This record gives sequence, C-alpha cells and structure tokens, in this order.
Amino acid sequence: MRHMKKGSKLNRTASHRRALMSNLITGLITHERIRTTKAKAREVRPLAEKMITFAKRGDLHARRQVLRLIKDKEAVTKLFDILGARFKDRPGGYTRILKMENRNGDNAEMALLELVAEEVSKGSGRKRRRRSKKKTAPDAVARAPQAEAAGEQSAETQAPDRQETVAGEAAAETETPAAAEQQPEAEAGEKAAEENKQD
Amino acid sequence: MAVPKRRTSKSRKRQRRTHYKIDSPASSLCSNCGQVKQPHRVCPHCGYYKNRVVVEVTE
Repeated sequence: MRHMKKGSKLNRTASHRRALMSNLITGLITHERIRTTKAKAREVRPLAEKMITFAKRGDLHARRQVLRLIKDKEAVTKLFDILGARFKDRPGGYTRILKMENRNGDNAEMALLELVAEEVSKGSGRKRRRRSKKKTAPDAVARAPQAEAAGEQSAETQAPDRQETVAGEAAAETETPAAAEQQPEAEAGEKAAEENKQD
Repeated sequence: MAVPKRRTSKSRKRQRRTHYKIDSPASSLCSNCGQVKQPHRVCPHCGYYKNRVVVEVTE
C-alpha cells in the first residue's frame, strides 16, 4: 500500500537515487540543458527548482542546505551568483521539459531538461515570434527537398489554419491579457500546441 | 474447484484474439520542415519544437 504513490523510485536504492539526483542537478546547473530519460527528468525537475528557489534566497543557510545535495562547489557558486539573479523575477517554473525521440537501443523515452532562458513572454512578444516563424516556413521547405511533397502539402494546408489560430489567440488575449501573461510559458505553449492540433 | 467444461476451440481462441491489437503511434507533421514526427516531441529531422531550434541535428 504505497498510499499517495508519489514519484518514481527509478529502480534505485535511496542512496543511489540521491546520488543520481545530485549528478543530474549538477549537470543542469553547469550546462543549463541536459538530455536524459523522461522519467528521470520528471523526477529531478521539482528538486532542481527547489535548489533555484534556495539560490534566490541567497543567504548562508540556503547555501548550506543546497550543499547537502549538490557536492560540486563550483556549481553551487554558479547557482547562487548567476542563476539566482537570473530567476529573481520569475515566480517558479524555472525549468522546461521537452520530449524527444525515443532512445536507440532500449527505446527509452528521452527528454531535454533545460533552464528557461528567455524573459517571461508578453502577449505581443509571443505573437511576433509566431508570425516571424511563418515567414521562415517556405525556406524550411526548400531545405528539405526530399520531403518536398509532404512539406508543400503541410505548408498549404496548415498556413491558413495557423493564421486563424493567431487571430483567435489575439482575440483571446485582448479579452484577458492579464491572465494570458501570468500563465507560465510552458503551459501556454502546450495550450497553443493543442489548439494547433485541433485545427 | 471450478474447472472449464470444454476445451477452448481454435475458433473461439482466435475470435478472442482478434481484439488483441496494437495501435500505430500517433504522428503529426513538423511545422518547420513538414516531415512526419511524433506529436509533442522535438522534431528529429530538423530539431525544431514550437517554432524554434531546440537541438542541433547532426546529419
């Protein structure tokens, strides 16, 4: 009876799991982006975010609490000096998980775990990015000539749809701009993806 | 103890198993390069996801 069934043990003993988390977080702090299995990424993410929250606090007690888990002093220095300042204004949601193709060999689900780099996007910024993307679509088709047929088809069939999506989103944003801005970016992105899919 | 009265015939067995199927994985087209990819995944062909480069693809 594992009551609330929280998290995964990742087939490891407690000490092994703790060491794994420590290593993954150290890697994430050092490289800002790590490629790992989806299960590990999902396990390490909350812990990594807690470390960044400690870093934002910045006092000696917070540093010692982080050092309990992260043994690499250089990484902790970077965490407190650089990352703490970087995420000063971000209320949580410092990391992002992007799913990737399954791994060759054991077909494990892979994911990228990365520190969220850009600013909290305003509604206008998001729209601008989306429009500029549309312009780049044609040369993307040219870059993949072997998929010409598929590319042309998708460009033709999807372009009008996307315009509608942008228009629809713009309308939605004017209605509730504050709500749209406050949404964490990952969540908003997922929503947008779902909308695209429905089209 | 309850036991089956009849042996399951080949026909019955096969009829039962017609419902053992696997679905093919969902697919979608990459918004950047137009190739088939799994939905909600970084495109393995061009490394794009949500209209930006996420990973370098080594050819």
